[in-house]
Amino acid sequence: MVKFVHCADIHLGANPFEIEERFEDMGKAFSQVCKFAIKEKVDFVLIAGDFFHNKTVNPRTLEQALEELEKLKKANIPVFLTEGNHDMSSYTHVYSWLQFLSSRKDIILLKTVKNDKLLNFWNGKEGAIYEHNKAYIIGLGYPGSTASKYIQKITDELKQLIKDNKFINKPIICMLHSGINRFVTESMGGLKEEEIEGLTNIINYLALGHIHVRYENVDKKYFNPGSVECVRITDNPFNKGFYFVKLEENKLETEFKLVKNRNSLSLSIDIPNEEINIYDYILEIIKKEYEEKCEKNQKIMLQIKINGIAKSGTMEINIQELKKIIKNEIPVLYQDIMNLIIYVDEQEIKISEDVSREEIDKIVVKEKIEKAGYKKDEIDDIYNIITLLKECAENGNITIDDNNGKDIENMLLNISRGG
Amino acid sequence: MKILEIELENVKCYKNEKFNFENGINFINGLNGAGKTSIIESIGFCLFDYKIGKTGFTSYYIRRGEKKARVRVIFEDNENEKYIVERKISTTSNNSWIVKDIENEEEIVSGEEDVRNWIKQHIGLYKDDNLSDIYENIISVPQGMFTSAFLDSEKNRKAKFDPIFNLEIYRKVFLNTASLESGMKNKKMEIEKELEVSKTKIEMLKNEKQEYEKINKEMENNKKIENELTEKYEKINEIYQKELKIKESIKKHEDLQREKELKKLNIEEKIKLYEKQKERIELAKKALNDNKLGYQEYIKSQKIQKELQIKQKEYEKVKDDIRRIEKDIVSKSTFIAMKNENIEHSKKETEKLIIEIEKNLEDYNKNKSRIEKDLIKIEEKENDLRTFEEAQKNIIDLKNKINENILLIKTKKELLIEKSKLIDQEESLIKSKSELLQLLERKNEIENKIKILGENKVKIISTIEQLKESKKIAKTGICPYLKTECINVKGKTQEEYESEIIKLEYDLETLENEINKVDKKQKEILKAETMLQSAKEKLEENKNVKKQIQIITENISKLEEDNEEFNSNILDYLKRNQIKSIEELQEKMKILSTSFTELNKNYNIDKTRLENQKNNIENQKNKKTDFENNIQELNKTIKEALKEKSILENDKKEYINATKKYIGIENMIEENNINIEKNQEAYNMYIQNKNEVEKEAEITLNINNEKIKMKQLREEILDNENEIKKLEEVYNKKDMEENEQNLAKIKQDITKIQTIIETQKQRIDELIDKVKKLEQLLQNMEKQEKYYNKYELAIENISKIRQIIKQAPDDISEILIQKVSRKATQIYAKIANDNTRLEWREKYEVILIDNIGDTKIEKEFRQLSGGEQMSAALAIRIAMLEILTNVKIGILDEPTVNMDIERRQRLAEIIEDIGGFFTQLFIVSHDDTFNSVTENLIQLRTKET
Repeated sequence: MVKFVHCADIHLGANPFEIEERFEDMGKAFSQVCKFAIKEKVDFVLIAGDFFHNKTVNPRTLEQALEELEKLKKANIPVFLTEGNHDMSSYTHVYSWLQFLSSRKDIILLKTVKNDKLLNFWNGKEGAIYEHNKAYIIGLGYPGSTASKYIQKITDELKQLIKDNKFINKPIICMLHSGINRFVTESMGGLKEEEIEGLTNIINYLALGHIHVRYENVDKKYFNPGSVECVRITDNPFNKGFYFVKLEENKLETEFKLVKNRNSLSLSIDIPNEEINIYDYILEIIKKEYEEKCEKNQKIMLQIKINGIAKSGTMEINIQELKKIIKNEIPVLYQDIMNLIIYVDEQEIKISEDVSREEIDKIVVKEKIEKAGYKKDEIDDIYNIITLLKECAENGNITIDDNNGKDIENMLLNISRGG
Repeated sequence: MKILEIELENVKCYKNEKFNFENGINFINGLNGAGKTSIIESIGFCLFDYKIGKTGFTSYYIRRGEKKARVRVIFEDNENEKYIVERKISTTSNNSWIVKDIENEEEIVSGEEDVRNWIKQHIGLYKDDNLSDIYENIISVPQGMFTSAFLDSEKNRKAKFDPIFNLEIYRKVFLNTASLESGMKNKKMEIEKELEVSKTKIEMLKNEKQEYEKINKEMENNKKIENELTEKYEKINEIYQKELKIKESIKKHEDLQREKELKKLNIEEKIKLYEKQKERIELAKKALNDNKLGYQEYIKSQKIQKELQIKQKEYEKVKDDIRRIEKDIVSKSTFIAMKNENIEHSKKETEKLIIEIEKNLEDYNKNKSRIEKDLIKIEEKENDLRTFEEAQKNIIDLKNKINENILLIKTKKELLIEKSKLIDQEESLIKSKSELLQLLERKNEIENKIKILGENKVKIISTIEQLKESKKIAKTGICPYLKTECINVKGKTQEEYESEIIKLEYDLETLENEINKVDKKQKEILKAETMLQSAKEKLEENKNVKKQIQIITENISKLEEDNEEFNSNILDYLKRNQIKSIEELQEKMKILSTSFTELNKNYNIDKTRLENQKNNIENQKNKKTDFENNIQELNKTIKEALKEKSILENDKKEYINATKKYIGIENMIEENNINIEKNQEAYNMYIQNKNEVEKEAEITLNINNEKIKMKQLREEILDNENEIKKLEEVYNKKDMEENEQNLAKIKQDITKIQTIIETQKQRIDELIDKVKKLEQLLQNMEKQEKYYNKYELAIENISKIRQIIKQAPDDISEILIQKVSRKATQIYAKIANDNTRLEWREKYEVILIDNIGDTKIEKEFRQLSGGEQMSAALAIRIAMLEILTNVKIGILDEPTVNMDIERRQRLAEIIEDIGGFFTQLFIVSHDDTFNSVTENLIQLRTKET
């Protein structure tokens, strides 16, 4: 039986708002993964991409990484890693920080070579396929925009290798940094489920990374643990973690282990239609959410979007002031407040937000027809004439002698009364 | 819409390259000059007819040194259908622009105008949108123009944004409908003229209508008179018609009377005829009675004749059966005789075979005992031969072993000589070893010496260098020690330096000689060291060699002992077989082998012969059994045949008995025939008269019927006579003639008045058309007047409509600006995340409102910082894309220009949020801020040249 930990999207070095605590949060989350691996004496740890948040790594980030990797090294637990879109070698740096760690033997970086043959066995320095004494581990990296062709080629090569008896009596585990069927929900690129079926049919476990939300399909043998810590303020912090996997012949057993992390709240607040004390109103909502969801022993991340329509001169918000009020009541590490209220003058023509460009023309023109003194049952007729005029006038002058002119003349005569 | 793939061939820095795009954010990243903008420009050129620079585009766009370029885009329209758009451009104006089917690449539309319209329709643009304007001003604003449009004057801003707001059309409609309005006014005047003409025509027609009405009245009176006359005529006619009917009825009854009298005569004739027939029948009855007996006799004889003929046929058949059985009995007897002959023959053959078998068996037994004796002899010989072969093999084995050992002994002896030579050198080695040890004792001494000499040499060299430097400095008049000017150091001092240098250089030479000498010595020592080492090793090795020599010597003596033993073994073998030598052994074996082969050959021939004999006997025995079986079989057959024969003979007897009852049948037939001939005539007479007598009843019936008919007819004639008398009493001839005359007169009067009415009718017909025409004219004029009124209203309407069209754009643009502004305000709030609010006001003016405590400060666009300007422009551009088009793709070229790192990161953080409206958002940038948030990353490397 092989026993391993599968995590992804560690994002060491992520620090979007330049907050020291958040930077440390990333390291703390990874530390919990390593601690578990050592306690359970797993055979190895898989990191399916985006170990680092940036291609360039600062000293403290490297220190964070090495501190944890050395603990695993001491416990004789190898770490297999594949590149993600964040930490793959960029066009300016041919030699990446992951390659540096791999050359130091802190990790084993598995990556494909972009030439005729994508898959090579590990030669001590590089390669995509590693033969561990309990399993074969394959790193496929981040496939980018040509994902579907790339996976097809990988599948074909793998089939050939199996046919040539290059894999003997051990499970095959693949790491891939790409979303599966995430087009609609995350509006992201990636692969369709049917595109990886050929691959999952011949391997035993597909370890995914890239999408920060956990999802899996046991039948299709693919698993995505999501990030171990919230990278963006909008991420949901209450279901972060990694997989603990036991694999024996064809029996697969997975367990999702939660990681304790920084709480965050991302709220969208609609203001009511009446005049109120807006600061109190917002504060009440935040306090309620905080009480329900957050742990009380830590400072949280807070994002608020305030939506609605208000009369000009009312419901105005001074964001600095609001931040001060919130900070007095709730322990916050960072606040991101967006005032999206639309302030409207009373004289403004009230047209709702989702009205299309054509509808606006229609509304304005019809209103003008009414103002010109036409009765309700005539408005549509006059509007139809205007619509036809817009179509005909494109081609130049309209005279009473041409077909368009005749049509319009007829329509005008069919309106029995004038305005 | 959605762009799936773009392929560039000979475009700017690309030779041939293909890029795939995904849903969401596509980030095109690379250093300056890597070809990012080329991709964007190619999307613009191929899908939106956008050409940067307008003039000189061809040479700008085609790769240097090439003559033509091609760009090919696969895109999905708003209905999710996929298409290929391909555009080629060349320096020789050989250009094309085609939309193709994705499946078979067949052309769907081509030609610039048609392709433009096709694309507009398929990507959700309005018909009157200008494709390249929309692209340049909304979808993909070029880097330089991104913020500059908002810095322009009010007039220029209007010129730029009005077309985007798609309001041009209203101006066009207003202008292009002016001639319609004037045309309608002219038409109104024409209608007025037509109305006047109609009125004159109506006055003329009114007189004719009056005449029509007068004639119509007169004609009505005449019609009344005509009706009265007609009524009178009909009354008289009714009486006259009745009289006419009675006259006709009298004539009819008289005709009927004549007809019935004729019928009466006819019936009387028929009754006479029937009575004559009845007399003839009475005669026939008598004849029938006379011939009855003869007839009955004849019928009886005919019946007997038939029975006799059947019996005669049965008799003939029995006789046939007897003849057949007799024939079968003869053939069975012949068969039995033949089978008996066969048995006799088989018995003779069997006896012959028994004698032959006995003789053969005797012969076989004799031969068999002879061959068994021969076999014993052969086996003896074979045993002898095997013993000899074994002896020979053993001896040869031993001899081989001896020879092997002799060879082994020879090599071992050679090895022994070699090893002994090594031992001989040992003495001289020991001697040179002690010499070398003596030399080594001096090693340390010499090394020390080298060290000291080396140090001296360094000292001297550095002293010389120092002196040379000092000499050089001193030459310039500066004191080499104090580094100040000094008159003492010139002239004489130079020589002193020189002589000291020379002296030291001599010392150095001497020293170097000595170093060389010592070096040589040291090398000797080093060599001695290695030699000593090898000498030691060799001596050590010799110890091993001695041991080896001893082992080899032992080996040799053992081998020699083995050989002696082998030789004695050979002699033993020979003795045991009573043979003097191996040659004799071989000679004996040869003789033995020949005689063995001979014997074996004879034995085999005899054996085959014996087996043949045995087979022969077996065959004869089988034959004998076959014959015996055959006889048995034949006996059985004969027995069955005899049984069948006796059955046949019994049958024959039974048939002969059966013939007895048919005797005398021929005589009986003869007698009966005479009887038939005798009664033939009586039979014929009887048959003839029988038919006549049968008619009697029918004739009697006919006579009765005719008599009844006669009675009925007489009654009818009487009735008819009475009827005629009754009618003649009613009929009056004079009245009838008077009525006839009256009727003729009235008819004349009617015809006269009808002629008058006809003339009046013709005149009315002439007038009625004119009256109708008048009525129509009146109706038409009413319609015309109504139409005229309506037309006046229509002219009023078109004027109002044109006014509405003239005023609408201002109201629409106000709303659109407001809408875009609201959206932009929200987007800006997300990007800026501070206390400022963006507003886009009337006349396309950008204002940023800063909330500082309780006061608000309004800033114009040109007063903003570079980062603020970029953020504000980005917010408005994205809002415009969302609100003004259905294209759902946007291209942002270097959107982070002028933004500080914080703003850049903020933008990257929220880009997905604000880009949610788009199917695809293309971001082109040289900095990698967006790397971490985008899904489809296209990284371009600068081509190395």
